[in-house]
Amino acid sequence: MEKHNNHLKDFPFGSDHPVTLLDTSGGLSLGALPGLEEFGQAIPKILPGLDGLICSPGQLRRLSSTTVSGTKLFVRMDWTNILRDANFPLPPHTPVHLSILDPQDAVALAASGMVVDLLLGYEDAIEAHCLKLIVQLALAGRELELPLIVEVRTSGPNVAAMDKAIELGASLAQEGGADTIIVSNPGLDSLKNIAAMLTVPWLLKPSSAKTDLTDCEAAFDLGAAGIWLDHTWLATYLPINELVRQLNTLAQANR
Amino acid sequence: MNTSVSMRMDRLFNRRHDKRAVCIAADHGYMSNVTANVINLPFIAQAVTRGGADGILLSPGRAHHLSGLFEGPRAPALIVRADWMNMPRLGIADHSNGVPPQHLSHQKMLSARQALALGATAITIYLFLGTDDKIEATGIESCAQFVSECHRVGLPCIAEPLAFGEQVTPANLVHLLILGARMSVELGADALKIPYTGDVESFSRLVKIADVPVLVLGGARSENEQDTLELLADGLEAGCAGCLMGRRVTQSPDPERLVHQLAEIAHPGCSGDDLKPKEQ
Repeated sequence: MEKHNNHLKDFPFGSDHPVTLLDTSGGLSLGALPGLEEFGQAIPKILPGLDGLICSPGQLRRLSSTTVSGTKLFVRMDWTNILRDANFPLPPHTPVHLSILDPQDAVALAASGMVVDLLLGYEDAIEAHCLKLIVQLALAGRELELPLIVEVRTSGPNVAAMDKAIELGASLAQEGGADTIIVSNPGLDSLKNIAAMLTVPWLLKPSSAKTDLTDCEAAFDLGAAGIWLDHTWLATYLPINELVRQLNTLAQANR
Repeated sequence: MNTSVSMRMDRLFNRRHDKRAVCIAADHGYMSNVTANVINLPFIAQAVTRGGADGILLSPGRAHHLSGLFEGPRAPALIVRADWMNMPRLGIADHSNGVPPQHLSHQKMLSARQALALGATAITIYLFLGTDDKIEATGIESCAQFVSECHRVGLPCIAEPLAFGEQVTPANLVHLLILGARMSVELGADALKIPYTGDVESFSRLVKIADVPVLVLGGARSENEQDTLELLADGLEAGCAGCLMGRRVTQSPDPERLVHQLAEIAHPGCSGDDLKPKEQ
């Protein structure tokens, strides 16, 4: 038990300042991501400054044979087609969510933790499936000393109120046993509710559509443990290295 | 009843040597929209513990994160919610409902063995009657599985029959609750968490037909806390073993005081000293 707690403390909260994580696992559904077409060569350039990288199982297998110092490697445990839009060569007609990796496999891959989605606003069965997977991975994670990060995605067509949906997602993730929770910015009032509600660390997933980092500053003020950059940041107004540099400067100021 | 189940039943229902229990349901954040009692749950759980709750019902995640509450000889018993459903979010059309579900979903979330590993003294599961045949069948299958699993690992299974859906009418509500109570017991449930039927006579009939310890649930919060106290008093008069109340307590301005008052009704004449171990 003690060892497990120490392990959880190691990441990301052993850090004395907010951390920056980058999720590159979107290739599972989208194929090659911008800038990551040659994954083995691109990743070493991205890693400096990052506290954590979220990989697909295949990415993690490749990285495990290289030396990665200072950056924790997490593995994506699920697959979904909701990252695809109508312009994608295989536009999704039915939202799908699948478990793709066993927790024992995550240990074998030397992952620092597991990452899974909580999809809200799609079919009721998808929400229920996600939540059950969270409960099961959280329980397995405690036995294996492997923390579980839950990314709340409220992109379904049945979302009626985005702020309340994000609050709900954070609550469900915590009740299901998540060790760390990733939320989008629901607005300041809702973010305050989330910060007050969560007894586990949480990270903000800022919108790449914005061209400033004011979201991040507000989140740090409310006690966010860090920032989570998803694949959409790989093709935005800033090179990813420069973005990470700016975030780190901001994080240092929030020591 | 196997010895381990019997021991845990005793831990929950005989903490004060009177075969009664005042338990608090604090699993709303697992199934409902985010409200103040969900945001403030750690403080509320501490308050109801100070108030003398005999058991607290939590989701698996909260059971882990609040495990410290259940340590020590005077600590309440942990009851783990082993299944999940979306009923509280159905049919709410206001802004608070960020993701309105389309249909009732109900499913098993963890095994009895996993609940035991979380430190559970018992688990609670739903049994829905009145929605449709499929939901009823899912609930029965799930209840039967849970009872088998629970008894293999020595964990009491508390069934929560709920009448919900188009087949439920004011005229058949009591009948459905009594039906659900008996079906749960026939499936092997060790205790019940169930809504009050509305009067002592019909609830007494339910308790008699169930023939296992029955905990009355509270339902939506009442502005008048006297109603909550009377609900428990009526339930006890009908022969129930106590309560497993949620929002009436967790949304109270003073949960500690309310639990203390409930405990005084369920355990008249008992003090904190009654929590000391029984002499052998």
